[in-house]
Amino acid sequence: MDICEGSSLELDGERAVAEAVAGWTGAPDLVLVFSSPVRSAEGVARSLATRFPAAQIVGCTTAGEHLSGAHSNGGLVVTGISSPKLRWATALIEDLAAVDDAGVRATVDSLFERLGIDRTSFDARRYFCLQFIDGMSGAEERVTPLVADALDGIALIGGSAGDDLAFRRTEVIHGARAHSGAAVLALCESGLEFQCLKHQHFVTTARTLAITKADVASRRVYELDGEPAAHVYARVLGVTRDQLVGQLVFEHPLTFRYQHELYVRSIQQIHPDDSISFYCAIEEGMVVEIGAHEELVPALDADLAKLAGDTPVDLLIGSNCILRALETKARDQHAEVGALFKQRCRHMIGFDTYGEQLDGLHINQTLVALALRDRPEAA
Amino acid sequence: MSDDRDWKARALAAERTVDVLKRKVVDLYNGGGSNIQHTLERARVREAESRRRRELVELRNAELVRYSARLEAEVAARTRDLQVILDNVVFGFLVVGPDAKIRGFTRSCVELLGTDQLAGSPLAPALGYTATQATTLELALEQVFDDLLPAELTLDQLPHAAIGSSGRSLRLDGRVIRSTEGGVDAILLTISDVTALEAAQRENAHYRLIVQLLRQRDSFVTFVADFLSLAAAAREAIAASDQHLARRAVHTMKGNAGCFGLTDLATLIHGLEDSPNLDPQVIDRIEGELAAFLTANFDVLGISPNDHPGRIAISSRELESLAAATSLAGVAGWIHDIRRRPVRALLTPFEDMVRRLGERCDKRVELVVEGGELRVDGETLAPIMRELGHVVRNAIDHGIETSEDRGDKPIPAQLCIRVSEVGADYEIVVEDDGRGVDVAMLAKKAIAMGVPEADLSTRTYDQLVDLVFVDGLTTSGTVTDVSGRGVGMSAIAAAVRRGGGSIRVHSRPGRGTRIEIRVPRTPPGFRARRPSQTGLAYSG
Repeated sequence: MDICEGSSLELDGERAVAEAVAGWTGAPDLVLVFSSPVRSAEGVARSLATRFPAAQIVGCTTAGEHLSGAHSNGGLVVTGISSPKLRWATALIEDLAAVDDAGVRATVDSLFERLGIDRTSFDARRYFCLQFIDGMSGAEERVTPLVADALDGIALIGGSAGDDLAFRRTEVIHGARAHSGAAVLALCESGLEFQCLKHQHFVTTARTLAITKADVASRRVYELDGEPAAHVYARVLGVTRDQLVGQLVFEHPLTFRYQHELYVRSIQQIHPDDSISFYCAIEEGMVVEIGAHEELVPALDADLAKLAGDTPVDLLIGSNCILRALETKARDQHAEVGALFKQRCRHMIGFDTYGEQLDGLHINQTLVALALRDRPEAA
Repeated sequence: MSDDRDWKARALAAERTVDVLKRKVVDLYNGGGSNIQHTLERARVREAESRRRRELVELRNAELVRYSARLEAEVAARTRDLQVILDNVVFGFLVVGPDAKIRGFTRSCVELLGTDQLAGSPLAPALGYTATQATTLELALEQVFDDLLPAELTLDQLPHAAIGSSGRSLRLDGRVIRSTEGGVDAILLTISDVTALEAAQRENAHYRLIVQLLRQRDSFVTFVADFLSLAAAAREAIAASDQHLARRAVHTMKGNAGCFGLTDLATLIHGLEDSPNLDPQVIDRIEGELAAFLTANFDVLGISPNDHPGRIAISSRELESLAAATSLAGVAGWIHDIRRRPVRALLTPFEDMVRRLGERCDKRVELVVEGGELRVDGETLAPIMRELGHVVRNAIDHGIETSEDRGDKPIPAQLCIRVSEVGADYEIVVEDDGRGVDVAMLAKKAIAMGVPEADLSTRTYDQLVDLVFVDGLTTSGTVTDVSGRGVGMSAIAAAVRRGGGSIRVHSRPGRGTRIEIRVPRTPPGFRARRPSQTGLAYSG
């Protein structure tokens, strides 16, 4: 597997791409690109497509970027992959608001067809699918399961596009175009060994709350335990309403259990009317717990060590929750986190997301990543 | 008051909470209401389904791995076996380059050819070839590498046999190895040790012969007696300086030996009968060969050359009849009866002979024998019957055409031997539906032998046909071990003459030939001598 990578802080898409890919040799099969909305996503896509006309290009806008140990805000990171052991097919799901089961299945069918996958007899373990989806569409919870269903057991992993916490417009990149209200899929037939990583650094506590008033569509909770949500949240944390800012909030997401599994509901915003917006679906009657915080760096180190074993993975493609990024920034741990990635991965590309997807579920406060290894025996 | 309000507010909140939770519980009990639960449940089901599929795939893959491992083990075992065979048993492989030198070889070649100096050596000496054989081999190799003719043709020109220095009989089979451009890069020679195979084939042929002889033991006993008496006749002729008569006897011995499948004996005679002067030693050698065969197979055939195979066994009933005879005529009649034997016992095994000759001459012939069960006077007919093989051989060799040349005529060709009693005579007819006698060729040969051309020009077609009885005259251009010496027809004519009979040839160009023999049924000693027939028929 040949990997080229580069980054840029240039504000102009064309110039940023030029800087990032300077010195690349060869023609990649797939180009992964994550770019802050400070520059035109459309310009980035067009510039990449011009430079790599044979490559398939996928990516999205971000709330932060990762590249092989370095983290940026306002940057552009790009990685080119070429390997005879990887075959790629990419497709766009347009108009997330309207797409239904049949539409998603048709898109996935087109990917299957291009890779010659016979639904009746294929071995799902040889495939994975990357998904980048508009993070402001609110459609992740509806569309992701449809994609996962259509993939018939193929691993689905990805993230929601960000816009540097502006919460105005997020876009995905497919080929020479950037699209809002859309998702991009990259299905891969892999002759290489691959693994999915799901890393969280939260545990639950015994403190429970019931969501008693909420607007499900906007993922906004008005009341917890029958009282204004922000007040109740502050009370259980032992702080005043005014102290509900920044790191305290990142470190105490709400969680809930289903079938003994813990699911995180991260807080996006605390509004002046004491309501709380979440990055993930909520509903009335849901009993949530207050999450407890683990130290981010040691927890990540442990999970990456478990993933990599004795030899670093060749490429890690990650979607890191924006709240984890904010916590890392608040604790000034980007360098430490970057060092961990560098230690465990020969190459890493990723972005800070407004949500993560893993196997049909839209989740929060998580790092999901796909690890590829080019071991000779995996050929 | 504020505490009261606080408690009141908290109580209302608790009440709202309880209401919401109640609604939720009711919804859950009624199977709906929670999108999140639905989504998570789908994910759980999906995961379970994926796990099930993965397990299925793993099972299938594990089965494939096991199957593949078993196959590999089988292939490995077969490869080992093959290698053992290739290296140690009867086959060897040689790769020969355009320079006629050995490029590569399997270990077994060393043993087969009896030399380990093979790498880079010229092929011909490795095969133990003489200089002439080496030249032939090199020319044939050259032709293969030239690649101008189809490979199967050029490969067929390569010598197929060699004798290894270890004395083994080796068979060689070539295959062309082509380069990526398509030219002949090398020849792969498969060398097989056929020593055991040839021995087995010889043994098999021998057993087949013995079985055949046992089936026709009566005929074979007659053959042996005839053979010995012909040998005696040949000796007498040599003593009387009648080389011609001796040669004719030897020729008949050869023909009859061939008819019974005694090919070694026939081949020996074939090699000896061309000697400028037949002498008693030649006859001894021929007789000795038959004697050796009979001795070697005495346990099975029960025939000894020292017996008197021609003697007649008499049953007690026949002895009683003899005792009852009251006159010389009665005794003569008794003797006549005793001598009567079925025609089939007198005939040589023509079925086998016709099959073998047909195969050798590439002709399809069906033999029909009529009157095989007719009881005839053996003394009278046996001398003629033993010469009948000449007529049959001539019919197949010269008369009957190959299938391609038969035009509209039926295939297989018909050859009929019919023995019957006609009045006071036995009639023996040998008839074929071949091309007839080539009188033009006969006339040409006759002229070459000194017959005046003018004499021939006045002859009719039928009279020209009778030239077949002239000693040494044949329509054949070449002498083969089947026929072609021009001796056979004169030999049967002589036998017929001796029996007091006549022989005629009726030929129809393109339609066939009919040889008609008539012999008086009464033995010469028991009848008044018949007047000689006249005309062109030969008679005694």
